[in-house]
Amino acid sequence: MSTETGTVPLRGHDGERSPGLVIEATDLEVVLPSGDGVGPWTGSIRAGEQVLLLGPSGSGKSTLLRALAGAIPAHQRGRVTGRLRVGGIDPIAGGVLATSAVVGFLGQDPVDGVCLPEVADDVALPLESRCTPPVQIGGRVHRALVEAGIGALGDRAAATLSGGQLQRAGLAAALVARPRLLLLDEPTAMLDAEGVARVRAGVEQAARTGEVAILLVEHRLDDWAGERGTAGLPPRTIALDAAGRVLADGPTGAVLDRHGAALREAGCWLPRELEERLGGGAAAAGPAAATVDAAPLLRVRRADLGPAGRAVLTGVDLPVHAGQLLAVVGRNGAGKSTLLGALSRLDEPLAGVVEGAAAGLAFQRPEAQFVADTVLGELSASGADAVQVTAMLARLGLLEKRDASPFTLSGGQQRRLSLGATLLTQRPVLLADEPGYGLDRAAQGTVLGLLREAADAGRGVVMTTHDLRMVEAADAVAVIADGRLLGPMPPQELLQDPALLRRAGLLDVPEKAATEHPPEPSGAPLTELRSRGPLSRRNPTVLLALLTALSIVCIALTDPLPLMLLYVLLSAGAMAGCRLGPLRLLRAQLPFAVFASGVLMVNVLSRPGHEPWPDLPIRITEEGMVLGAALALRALVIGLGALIVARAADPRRTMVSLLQHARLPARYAYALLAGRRLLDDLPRRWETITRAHRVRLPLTAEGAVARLRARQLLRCAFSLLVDSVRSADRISFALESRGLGDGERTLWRPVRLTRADALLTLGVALVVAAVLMLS
Amino acid sequence: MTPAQRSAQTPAQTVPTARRSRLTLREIVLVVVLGVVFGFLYWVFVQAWNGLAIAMGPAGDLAQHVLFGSWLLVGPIALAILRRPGVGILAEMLAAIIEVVFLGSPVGPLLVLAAALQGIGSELPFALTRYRRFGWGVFAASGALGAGLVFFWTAYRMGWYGQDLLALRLGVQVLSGIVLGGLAAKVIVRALARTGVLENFAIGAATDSGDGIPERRVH
Repeated sequence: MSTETGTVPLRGHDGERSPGLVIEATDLEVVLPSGDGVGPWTGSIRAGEQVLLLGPSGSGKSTLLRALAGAIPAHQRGRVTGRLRVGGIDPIAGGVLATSAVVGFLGQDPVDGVCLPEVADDVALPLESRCTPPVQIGGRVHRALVEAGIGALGDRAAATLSGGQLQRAGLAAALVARPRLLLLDEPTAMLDAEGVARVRAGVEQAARTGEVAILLVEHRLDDWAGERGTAGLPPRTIALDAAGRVLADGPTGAVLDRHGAALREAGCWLPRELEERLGGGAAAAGPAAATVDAAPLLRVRRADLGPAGRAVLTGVDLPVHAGQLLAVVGRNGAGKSTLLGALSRLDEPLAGVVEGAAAGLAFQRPEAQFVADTVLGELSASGADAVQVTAMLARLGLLEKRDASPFTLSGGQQRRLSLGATLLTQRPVLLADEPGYGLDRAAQGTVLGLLREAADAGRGVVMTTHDLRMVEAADAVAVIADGRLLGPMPPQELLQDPALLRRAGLLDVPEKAATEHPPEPSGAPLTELRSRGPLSRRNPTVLLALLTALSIVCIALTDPLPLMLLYVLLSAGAMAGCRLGPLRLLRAQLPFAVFASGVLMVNVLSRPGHEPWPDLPIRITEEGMVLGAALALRALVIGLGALIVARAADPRRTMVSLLQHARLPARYAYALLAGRRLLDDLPRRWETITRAHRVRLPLTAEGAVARLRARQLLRCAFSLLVDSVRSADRISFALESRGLGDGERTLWRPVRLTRADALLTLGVALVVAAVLMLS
Repeated sequence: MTPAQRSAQTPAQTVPTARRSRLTLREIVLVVVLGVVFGFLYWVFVQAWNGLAIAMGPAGDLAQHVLFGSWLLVGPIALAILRRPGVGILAEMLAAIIEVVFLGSPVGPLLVLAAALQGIGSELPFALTRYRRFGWGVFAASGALGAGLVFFWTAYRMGWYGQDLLALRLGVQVLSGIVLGGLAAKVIVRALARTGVLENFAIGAATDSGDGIPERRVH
């Protein structure tokens, strides 16, 4: 792979590099503005070596990975001291772009795994950045996707992939250019057991060559190791203490044996077999001997649940009892959130009934649900009085943070805050969506403690999870599988039934038997392209240029007649060139028509001139009518033209064509395409945020979930903005780690400029000229 | 001395504050993302707006001036976060490209020209302070100029000259620019800065006292 790194600008500055060493660090220390950090670390990692990086939350595992990838200080403010070389490159000075020549990176959120709208484009990006000849790119992209286990998904839109598929696509993009170092930052945090196993298989496939070094941060050690137990973990472990200093570095077994107790004390997850050896029970107090009262607080009877017309779950029967901590398990996409939506009364059941008071719901991402500027305000917003709020602040351990913005809290603190705010609403049933995800042992113990306390205080508590330890801590567990809800049953019953565990997504399904998540029907880009008519095959830059020229012509015209002619001709063009039926064409123009009629009216009424009907109570002028008609038609013509171009030019071809034919710099073109991918994801995020905000409102007099008012919608908009700015950070990191810079690059699938484009231009010019001359 | 050697001897400092000519990819992506989010939010809120415009009949054409300022937001927000010359104009133009190419704006590609004018107007007051002052007055001036400069182009494009309403249109639009396109931007930037998400942009470095990064770890 050394031929590949030959194009890298920063390399070979140090002659003393030892052969075979991928990472060399001497006194490497990172200090962040908060005063946190990691190091000092002196050590090395060899080619082909697999290393587990272990440590409690806040010990700086992610910070170290980001420093190795060149993100500090280039992307994130921080002081880095000491000496670091990764594949001969200095990430501190070179930044993410230079380091991308030797490093592949995969983070925890599947949404970030793919940053362009189409999967194959995203995987091709690192190759294009390294000037791989275009004829080779297709084959290598396909091979990378096959090795990641998703060979058939190359031409799919990223928006249609499941979480596990997105993570594997992200893995393919990280590996396609054969990096010397693969950095994995909790790559499985949001996946079910099957997804974990698939990502792991992809990583193993990459490791088989013996060339790439792998550094893994992972909370879910048992899921990652699979059935091999500790032997399935990377053979070497570097352990950090809570302050980010290196506690131990050596063979995984020995490190865990010697330091397991200290690591667990600090709040770190350990493999199950080790935990059992260390004793001391599960992370939180086990299930109490719950006495189930007669009348449940909340009951679902024979209900069908799901969006209108598509039942996700059928025949659901579920009682929620006071004093009970109930776990709900199931694969990603099985319908856990659908159930919570019904229990919280956000969604009406399609059939059957949900009886009892609406439940409070804490969302998986606390940030989606924050409604106030401060931690204190967040708790007060639940309607509790000052005494209760202060008591809750103390209980959550957030007294010192009372005036801080909720968004500045750590993951564990945010989770506590959102649970605390939900508890204060005094609703009899509390729902928590994945309350333990992404937390270390200590933080998960705190969260479970809060939930248990609520149950002991006489509330009903329901939590979804894909974590066996959370299941063990529950009083009962319900399994969602194949559109049905099974149980509730005692946790032991589920834990002793491997077949049921597999159906619940808690145990990996062997590859052969695995059912792929069915592709969602929306957005199959390649077939759609063909059905969009002949104009969709024309060069998008040419289309945009034609529309610009047409707009300029229209603005120069003040006579309604030629504009009318142009409008009729353009409508015909839209029907023939874009395969738009007359009805759809009219419907799409409705907003323009409303606007155009407004323009006409204002001009008719407000322009001085000759009055043909002076007796009317309002002044109507001839000049106003003529010019108004022209201006209205102008709006219609340009609007219709914009409609045609928007329909004919798909985003990828437009950006690639602007890059090729309009000299749009590559960084801007791909940043815009990544923006398009984000845009596709925003409706989903907006729905989550508005739902999360609605459940925090006081119920209406009828006990239903209230609607959001304008002020609250603005709050939601702000949440979306915060979320998107965070996304911007991750998108730019992902793009740069795919080598996107200003340097030379190749283009895998260029957009052609053909004779047909010239003919189209000529044809449009002739038609417009004819119209102008005729009238 | 090569960059590699230099960093081996002296601690790597925070994001360089010296004027760099090129924008970093992070800065470009942030500007794009702002354009995308505001484009999406306009679309969400315009659903309600369209209904209102229909109900208002002929006044709908006039009412566009009342809300005009909100279209300006991206420019001053990007400027206040990134504090770099040209960012305000770029932000408006990229937002316009996003609207034309991804959302299908009825104005067509000439929107990019209007956006450039808006951007120039919005950016001018910040440029006059050499991107050092971000008080209420600068934001208000930014909104007023952003709305005012583009008005004359739109007036030509839409044939407002010769209507009785020209002065009314201009007045309402500038007022809207000041409130919705200037002061509101400052409110949004302040709220965003409080959440900590801007910490790694120029605004984050500027609001820290001194260097902001401790010599040694404190935890």
